[in-house]
Amino acid sequence: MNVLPALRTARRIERATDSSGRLPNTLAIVAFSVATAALLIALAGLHGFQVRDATHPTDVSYTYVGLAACAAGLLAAPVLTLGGVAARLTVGRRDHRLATLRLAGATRTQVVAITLVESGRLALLGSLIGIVLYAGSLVPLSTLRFEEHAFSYRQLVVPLWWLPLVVLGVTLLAVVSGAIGLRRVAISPLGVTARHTPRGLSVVRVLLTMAAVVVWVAIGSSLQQAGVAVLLVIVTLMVAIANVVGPFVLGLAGRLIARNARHAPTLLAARRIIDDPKNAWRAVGSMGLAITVAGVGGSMGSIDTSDMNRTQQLIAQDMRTGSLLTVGIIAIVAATSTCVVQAARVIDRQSELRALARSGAQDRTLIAAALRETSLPLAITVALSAGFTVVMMAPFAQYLNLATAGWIALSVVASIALMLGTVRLTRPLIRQAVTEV
Amino acid sequence: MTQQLHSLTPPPTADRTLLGDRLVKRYAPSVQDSPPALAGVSLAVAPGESVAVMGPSGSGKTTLLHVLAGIVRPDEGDVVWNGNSLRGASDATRTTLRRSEFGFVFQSGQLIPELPAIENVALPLLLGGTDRRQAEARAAALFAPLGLGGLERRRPGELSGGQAQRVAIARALVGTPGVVFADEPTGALDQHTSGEVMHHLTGLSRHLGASLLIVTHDANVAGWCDRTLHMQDGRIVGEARR
Repeated sequence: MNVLPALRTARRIERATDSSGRLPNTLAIVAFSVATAALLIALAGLHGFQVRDATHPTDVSYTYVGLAACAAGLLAAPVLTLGGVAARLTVGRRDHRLATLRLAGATRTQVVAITLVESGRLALLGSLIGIVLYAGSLVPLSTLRFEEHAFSYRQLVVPLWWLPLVVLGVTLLAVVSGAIGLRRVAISPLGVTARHTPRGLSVVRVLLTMAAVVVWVAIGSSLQQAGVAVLLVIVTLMVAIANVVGPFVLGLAGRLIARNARHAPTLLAARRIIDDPKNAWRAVGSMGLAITVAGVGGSMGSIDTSDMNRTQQLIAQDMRTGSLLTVGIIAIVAATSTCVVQAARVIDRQSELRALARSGAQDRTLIAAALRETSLPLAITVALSAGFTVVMMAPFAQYLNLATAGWIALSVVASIALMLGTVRLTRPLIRQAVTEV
Repeated sequence: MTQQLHSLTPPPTADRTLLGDRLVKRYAPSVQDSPPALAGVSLAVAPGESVAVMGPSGSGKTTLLHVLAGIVRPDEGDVVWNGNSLRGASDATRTTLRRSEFGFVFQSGQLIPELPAIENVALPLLLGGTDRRQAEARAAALFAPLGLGGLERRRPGELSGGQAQRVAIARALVGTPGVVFADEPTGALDQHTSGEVMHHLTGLSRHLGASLLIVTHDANVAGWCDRTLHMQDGRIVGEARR
């Protein structure tokens, strides 16, 4: 087992690959960059409040540190999802090349090493670009005002020793996700094949979620006096549970839609959701989180403050700003995830799309099917998240004002528009696959 | 079989003959001395006739199939189907023609892995706007004649190679096409399964009045057809009738 010569050979093949063959790598680098930048921005916010608390402590400055930690925690799920999506992209799109290397005599160990080194290399490159994006974001971030003060660059620039740690973390995430992805495929000299078709998801997911909702409704009203940080930790747990039940609900909805679909694009989209509901959730689940954060954060920020003192009013106002920022970052990360997943699907199905086009399927039908594959689960997720948010905020209904509904609706519409906009970016890719007949 | 397929039988038309007239196709016109993939091929496929095209790799077999099917435009010459020239036809017209008048079978079947067999077969009709219930009813009529009864809800991954290829044949025939184009339809199958697939493909095409044009390397496959054309260097160099 000699890994180095295999790595050198793989690099030579990589360099010789044409631009369309390099597209998955480019997408993976973009995804790692956005994930790294989002992570660093979240850490910058946390660091900024920590510095303020240390240098200019107030009665509530530690509360802000807690809220920033919660926001960073909320961002962890979509950032990890995006990192995982990118890592899968680096592993899964090399079928032909990996099979050729196996045919030429490479051992399984050599092929695994090539794949993981490649994943790590792309993650490293992406995370370095992410640092540049983070640096570029410092200017707009410094204009945001919390506690009536804008952040200084000193507060927003994270300690330099954090940067190599973040790069290392992103790279490790890519390698570990890549290794997990490789366990699901068999790389033989005859090709790369999936080991098994996905199994149905357990109903335990639903029972778990129902139990959590019942507990929330039972204890929610008694938590009105609890600290905001405690409530947000609970929200984070609830969001984690939504991630458990989300794929199950998507699978169920997919079956219903497939049964009643009247047209080919809807039928294709629904069947693909049923086939892999976890993949469908990965593409849109983060948007569900954005909607929940918009709903909960927006609701808390919209609580009637007329009877409150100045400090409490400031916290409510800053929660609105913080929620908006968090939702914005989550929406960008989620839209990147969706775009990468969608592009990966098109690349995966090039020969299938080509065969359909040869058989007379129109471009617009194939594009509609591909877009519906994202828009259907997105619509389900939006409905699910909105319902979830209503349940979450039910114990606080008496304190909310009418601005809440407008706030939530605006955030949701903007987030969905961003996501659908990025999905439409993959249309040329579909058209290219279809026209290369 | 006749009763089950009654609803699929196409109405007789004036002239369902496929003509290729002095077809020329070059893939690298800028390269000097590059031989054309097709160098002036002419042929006629009569209604209901089955024609095999054989020849070594690079002889132009698949290019001929693509040009006749309207997938690729020839640089010179013309394709005529049902009395209509395809020379000036727009991409949209050719796409509609492929969907409504032609059927296709490829080497690996190219079935959609997420769809059950019956939905794979009904897909061309659904793509053409046929109501789903009607499309699936028409698709279902093809399962028993192809020996696929009871496999309607299975997905391609749960079918054998031969079964999957028969599903692909059903998909090619569900729209009652005038011509079925098959590119190495048995290339991935063993000899016995290959014979079964050809039995179904030629028998059912003939029954439905569809012409059949098969590109193959396998003389046994060509033996199922009425006529075999031999190609070399972009030209038809021989012809044999059964």
